[in-house]
Amino acid sequence: MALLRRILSLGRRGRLGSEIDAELQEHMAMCVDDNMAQGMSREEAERDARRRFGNPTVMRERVSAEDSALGLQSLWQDARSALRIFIKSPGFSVVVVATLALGIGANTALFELLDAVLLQSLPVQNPQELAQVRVVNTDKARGSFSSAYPPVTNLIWERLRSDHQGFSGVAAWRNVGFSRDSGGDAHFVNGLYVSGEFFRVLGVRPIAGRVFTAQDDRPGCGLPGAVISYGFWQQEFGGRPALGQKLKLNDKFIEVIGITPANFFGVAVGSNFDVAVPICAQPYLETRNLLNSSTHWWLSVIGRLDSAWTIQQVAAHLEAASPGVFASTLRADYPAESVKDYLAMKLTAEPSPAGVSMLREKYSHPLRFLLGIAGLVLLITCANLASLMLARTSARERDMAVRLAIGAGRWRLIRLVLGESLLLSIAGALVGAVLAQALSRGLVAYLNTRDNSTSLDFKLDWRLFVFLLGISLLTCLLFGLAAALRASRTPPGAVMKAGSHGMTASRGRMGFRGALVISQVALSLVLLFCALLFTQSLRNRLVDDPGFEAKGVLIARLDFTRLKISVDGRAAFQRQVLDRLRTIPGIDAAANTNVVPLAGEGWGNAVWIDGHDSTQRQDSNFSAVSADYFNTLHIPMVAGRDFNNDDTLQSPRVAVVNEAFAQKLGLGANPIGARFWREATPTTPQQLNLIVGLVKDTKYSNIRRPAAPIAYLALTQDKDAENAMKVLVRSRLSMNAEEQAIRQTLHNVSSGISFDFEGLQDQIQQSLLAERLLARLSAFFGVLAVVLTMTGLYGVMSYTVTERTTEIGIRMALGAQRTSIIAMILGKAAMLLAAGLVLGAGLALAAASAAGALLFGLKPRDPATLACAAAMLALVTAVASLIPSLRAARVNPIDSLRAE
Amino acid sequence: MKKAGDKDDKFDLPQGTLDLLIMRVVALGPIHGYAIAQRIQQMSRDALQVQQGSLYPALHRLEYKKFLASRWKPSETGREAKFYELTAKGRTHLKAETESWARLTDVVGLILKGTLEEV
Repeated sequence: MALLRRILSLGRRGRLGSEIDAELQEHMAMCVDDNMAQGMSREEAERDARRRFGNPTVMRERVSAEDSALGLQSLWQDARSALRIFIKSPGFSVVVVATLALGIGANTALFELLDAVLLQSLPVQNPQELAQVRVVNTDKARGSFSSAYPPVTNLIWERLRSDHQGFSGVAAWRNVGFSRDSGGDAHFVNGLYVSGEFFRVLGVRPIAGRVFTAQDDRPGCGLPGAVISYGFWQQEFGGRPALGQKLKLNDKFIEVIGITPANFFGVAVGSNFDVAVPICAQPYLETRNLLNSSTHWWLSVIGRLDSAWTIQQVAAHLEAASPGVFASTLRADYPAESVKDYLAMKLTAEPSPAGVSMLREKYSHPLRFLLGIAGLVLLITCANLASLMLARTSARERDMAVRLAIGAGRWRLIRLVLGESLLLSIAGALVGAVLAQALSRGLVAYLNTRDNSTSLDFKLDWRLFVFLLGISLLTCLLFGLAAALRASRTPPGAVMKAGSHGMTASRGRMGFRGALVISQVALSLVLLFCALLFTQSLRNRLVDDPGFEAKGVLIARLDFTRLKISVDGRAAFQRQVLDRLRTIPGIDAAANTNVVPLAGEGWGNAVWIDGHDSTQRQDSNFSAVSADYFNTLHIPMVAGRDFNNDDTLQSPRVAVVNEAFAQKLGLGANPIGARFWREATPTTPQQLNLIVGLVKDTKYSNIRRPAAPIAYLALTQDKDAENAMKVLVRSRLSMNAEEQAIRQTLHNVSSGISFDFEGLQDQIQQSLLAERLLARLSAFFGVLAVVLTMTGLYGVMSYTVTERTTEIGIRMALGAQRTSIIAMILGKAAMLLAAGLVLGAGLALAAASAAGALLFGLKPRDPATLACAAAMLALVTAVASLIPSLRAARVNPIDSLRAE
Repeated sequence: MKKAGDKDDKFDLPQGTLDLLIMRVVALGPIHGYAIAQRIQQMSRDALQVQQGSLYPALHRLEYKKFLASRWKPSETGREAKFYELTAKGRTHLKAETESWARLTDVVGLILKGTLEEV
């Protein structure tokens, strides 16, 4: 009650104050009257009254202290006075808030990204109950694997669906692209194959229409309907009623039956889906039926745990049930010699509350590192701000002394200065939070590639607020505390005396600010070191020779399913297309392949030399190419010949191998003429191949792996020709002109061909996105850190010179040369630098070893890089302290002594 | 001058007793701050000179605790002054405090006056 009254009295403050003043004034007046009545003169009376009354201001403060609400009164006062100060010095406030906003904004953006990728659960019901089911080890599995996430075959999925003990429900899904064009430039939407129970298991309710049920996902279902996402609904239908509308997917028409809520994006974090169709619709949408194959691994399985089961129990049960599952899902298409490996495979379950994510695997380590770097930059910023606040507080020493003299407690002063810094921190955090939204979206846009369009949902959840609050408080303390403590320790008497410049070097003052600069130098060294390491690492990756020349090569992916060409006619059609492309003026070479290099595609089989024991087989990478492939990519041919028109379905099977292959199989320097067997695959029996050419090594599918054995087969000798082509075109034309010419040519062949272009070099660049992100951002932060340190150093050195002006004047009067003064100041700076470098070197090496996994081509403890970073810092220090030292040398001894 | 009395006659007031004295003085009728100080000095026969610095804070403290009520009225000199009077709550508090003060001084006096041999 008393508290309430006091809070209410806050409003009456002003009125109360003047009332107290009036009362005290009356008291004084009556005292004076009395004194005069006793015979004193007016001045004597007044003087006596004042003497006996004491300091009126102190009195008023004491009286109103009785009135004050508990602390709230003075808090409000402090806040108002802080605001007044900032409005009076807008430059300072703007600089501080802007600096803080940048630092906090960068940290928050990275944190938001990490949070979305790593920490946030799926926006579904009870995500902690979700678990993914996968095969423990698919190394020995045969067939084609077309998912980025751990896949199973449809047969395995159906078996799990019928027997999912331990789960209250299971579901299967697969990301896919559906084409919406009818020829010409390809236009894909993000598709999702889902099982009937997918939405029910995840607990996703539609916002319109309905979602799939088990009834919708039965064999032979045709095209029962599609569930579209909220984003696609807005984009495609503009929010108008979409239920019942037909969508054209892969040249078939499907009716829209439902729309999912806005925040649902599927199970893969970072992906988004536009259209979901049941798994049973797959054979109707694609040419190859994958439903009954035990060699096509394409579905991912997720399930919701039964309340009575733990994840360990479920995993154990799955492992025990594995032999039965794999035995019952084996079909004739599985290669005979790998059957026993198939039967030995095991299933397991893992918790998956945050779904699966390619983003997570690729970027969580770099992002974490970047967050650490951003945190260090924030620390450096706070050190600068602490220095700044200290300087300001020193300038306000008189102000503080007066406050102390009229009765403020030490704690009150600390609270005053901390209050100012808290206000600045909060302002900086608010602006930084706004900035972070833009920054994080920018980062996501940067991570967006053609193949994996990245979309992340940034939720403003409690974690973010806690982070922001924590960071505000931390920064406030970091840069305000020193100033606050210093302010409260002001000795009022000493400060009131005029002209308190020291004659000697006041160690204490330099001590703290010097310590700040040392810590800044140390942190900058760490940041510079990391930046140099990552930049070098990126450069190493970029100059790392992939074995072929990517510049000038365009990848044209064609699809002519629409033309409905029979299997026998496809090879001829492909040849026709290639020939037409080669005749385009400006095109130097063109070739067809089924494995685009460094695109994450791949195909491997076991091989053994003809005549040798077939159990001594080795694994090799494969690629099927047309003639002129090696010429198109500028892969040097060491010996033998390329494929030509003589290599047909009827002629003996030939192959071109690379040097690594020859070495691995022990064929020596000239394997031409040797023969090797390729193991049986789901679609072909084992085949004998004659080596007719030898080429230099190239990288295969992953730029991060070294060159490996590759055997090239002739596409013309493949009886299962596809409806799609991946053509590599080398030309000197600009990309646009080239694409236009190819478009025209393809249109002339048939308007039903759909195509898609990408530069080979661009694709390679995109696969290095993580390295580029690290290099760029760490370089940016490194430069920022150096600039901040330079500013801080300049500030401290200027301050030192100003403080020691008298001392310098005396020295010069006593005969010191200008150069020795400069040397003295520079020496001071050098000491700070040296201390910082020593401290930083240890930190830098520790930080770098944490980055070891992210580096390529150099060791984390690279002494040359460390020396380089140190040298850069030394240069920056020299520049920063040059001006103050020159100023010191220009001190006129007479003037400086006179000012004292 | 009457105010500068003998130093031996002056002594310091313990903290809470100032409140008690003020309330006692105010109990006699509405009075303003300056007059309270004068009255205390007069009633203690000049032995007690209230520290001006403690008077007003104490007055406001008592007013906040609702033991005193205040009003601005013209004083005997013609100017307006803030007059305090005792509230019912204050009266009760004064009675209780006076009794406990009497008890305290009795007890302390008992101990101080007691002969040392009895210890």
